[in-house]
Amino acid sequence: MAAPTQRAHPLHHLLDNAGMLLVFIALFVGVSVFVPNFFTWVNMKGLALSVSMVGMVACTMLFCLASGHFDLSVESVVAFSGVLAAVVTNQTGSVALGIAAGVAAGGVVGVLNGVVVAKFHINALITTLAAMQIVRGLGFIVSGGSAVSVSNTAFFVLGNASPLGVPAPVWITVVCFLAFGIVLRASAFGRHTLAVGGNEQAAWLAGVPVDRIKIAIFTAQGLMAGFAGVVLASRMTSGQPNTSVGFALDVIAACVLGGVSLSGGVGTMTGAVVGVLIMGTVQNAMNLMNVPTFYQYVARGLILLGAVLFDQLRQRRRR
Amino acid sequence: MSRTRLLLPVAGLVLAAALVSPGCTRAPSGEGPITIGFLVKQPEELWFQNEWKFAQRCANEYGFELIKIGTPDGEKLLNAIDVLAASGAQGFVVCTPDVKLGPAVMAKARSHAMKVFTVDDQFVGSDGAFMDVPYMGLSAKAIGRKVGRALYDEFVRRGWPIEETAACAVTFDELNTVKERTDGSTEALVEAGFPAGRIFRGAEKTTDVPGAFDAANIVLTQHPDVKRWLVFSVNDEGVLGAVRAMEGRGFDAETIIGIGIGAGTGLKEFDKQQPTGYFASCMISPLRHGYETTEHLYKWIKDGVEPPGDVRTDGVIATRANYRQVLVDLGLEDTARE
Repeated sequence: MAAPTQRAHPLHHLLDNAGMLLVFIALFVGVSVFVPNFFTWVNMKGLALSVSMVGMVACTMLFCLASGHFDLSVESVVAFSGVLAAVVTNQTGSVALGIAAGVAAGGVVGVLNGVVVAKFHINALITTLAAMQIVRGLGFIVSGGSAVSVSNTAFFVLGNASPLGVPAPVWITVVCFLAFGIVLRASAFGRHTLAVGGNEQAAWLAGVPVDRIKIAIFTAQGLMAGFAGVVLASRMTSGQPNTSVGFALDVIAACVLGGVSLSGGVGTMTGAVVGVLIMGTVQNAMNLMNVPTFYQYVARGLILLGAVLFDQLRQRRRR
Repeated sequence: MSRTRLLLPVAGLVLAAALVSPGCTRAPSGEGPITIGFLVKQPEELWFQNEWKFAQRCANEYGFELIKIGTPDGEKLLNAIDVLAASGAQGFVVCTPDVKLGPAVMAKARSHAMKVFTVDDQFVGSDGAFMDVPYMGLSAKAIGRKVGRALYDEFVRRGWPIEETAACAVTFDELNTVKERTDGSTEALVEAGFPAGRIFRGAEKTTDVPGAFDAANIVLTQHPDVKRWLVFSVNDEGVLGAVRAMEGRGFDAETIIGIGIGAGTGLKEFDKQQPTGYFASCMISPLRHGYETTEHLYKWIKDGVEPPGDVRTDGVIATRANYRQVLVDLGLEDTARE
């Protein structure tokens, strides 16, 4: 987490620490004014729902990145857990069992990722790239190659209920942001995560249980991706083995956009939230403006590149 | 620092809300202008780009707004429907990335009071049955039958003796939708009076020219007595491969009638100086899938005209003589040449 500079002028302080947040606010106000239908209740609900998946997984991806690793397998875990939850729900007739199976499967993948990275010192890129393919395959195997429809309507509540007029996945995402934000700031686990990412040797010498922390991070990531997969399956009323290709990079991009360092040691939950919101807002606004799909790819890439350059400038000024 | 950070987004949003809310909260639906969405599963595929092009043509002619969004998976599809709702769209045409998303898509559409027209892929309900949602798609069987009928007509026109003639079917039965094409051609040939015993099948391992070349060579080796060939397959490539194999054994435009299926791959044959055994192609086009689906939906929204529930389209036979006109009719004049 970026240490505040003591000497800075209040305005500099604000710019340094809330750079992307200001960008987001400017963006939000800008599109509210210039894009018709953007600032409406229907669209705010749609926007919140559209970032809920990335938001949930970004919570734990933040820990992963902050510890100097990342996890590409989340996208396959989302698909696999959704399919598994659908299959188990259909076979047992129990929604609770289905959800538990989906989440647990994600957790198992997470533990395995964590053990391979921490104990065998295999690069997280390779480890989770392998896991991504294995788990994607498992998703197709469990589903028999095509989507699995769920007939028990109780399964749809998780993704489609709307307490107080706000969709359930949005509530879940908000709770995740708050909970993991507190864990990152106020718990030993959060501090240890940043310590491992900042300087693993130093952290180890200072008595941080480095391996355990890493395994815990990947496990949390797996559980969260599994849960997000179940929520998605609930929204879609079916488990889709081919869903969410490229999702992991969306999550990582959102975190990086929010100032989370890819080399570890730096990251705040506010940053991740802002990153997720910027990505979602841009995507939403481009769709509302009917921007052709191919231009959307270009725009998204440019925004990401711009964000990291902006971040780099900020860091340089701070030094 | 943390307090600043937590407070800022809240303050920012409130500020933003205060600034913009009077001007920009437009009522999304009602008696306003008509807006229609067109969601496709693979925006990078030429087929879907053409669907968009023809849908846009419809929108321009009738003067409504069309919003085109690529939706490669279920999550993006559901999000896109929310975006359409926010844009005030009253309905959308969709080619779903997965047919089992049907119930979720329809629930979402109902929650926004939107009308839905499905294209290319038909929704399947949780019970495994097709859902009762307006649909337009290719009929593989009808396309195949059209090829079979055209082959027979040309066979009769040339007055070939049946004892010297046989049909070579290059098949790919692993994929049901293409199997229906060759089955349809076989069916139509037999119905027209072509002896079923003179239709020889060669299974290709891949649905490309080399795959068909190998498959046809086996058929040719098995039946050296055949002097004249009718050729059909699952696509243009299948017929091209078979024609090339036959040319290698001395057959030519005089002794082969090959009719392919496709959206332009086979047309290169017609640009050659001399006619080849590739006689015609059954051209499939997304023209109706893009234009008519959008038109049906527009009239449904505007005038309450219920669209037809299930429309199956087939192809148009294009020969060396008429293919340029067919391309123009199908709206493919600028895209068929790769």
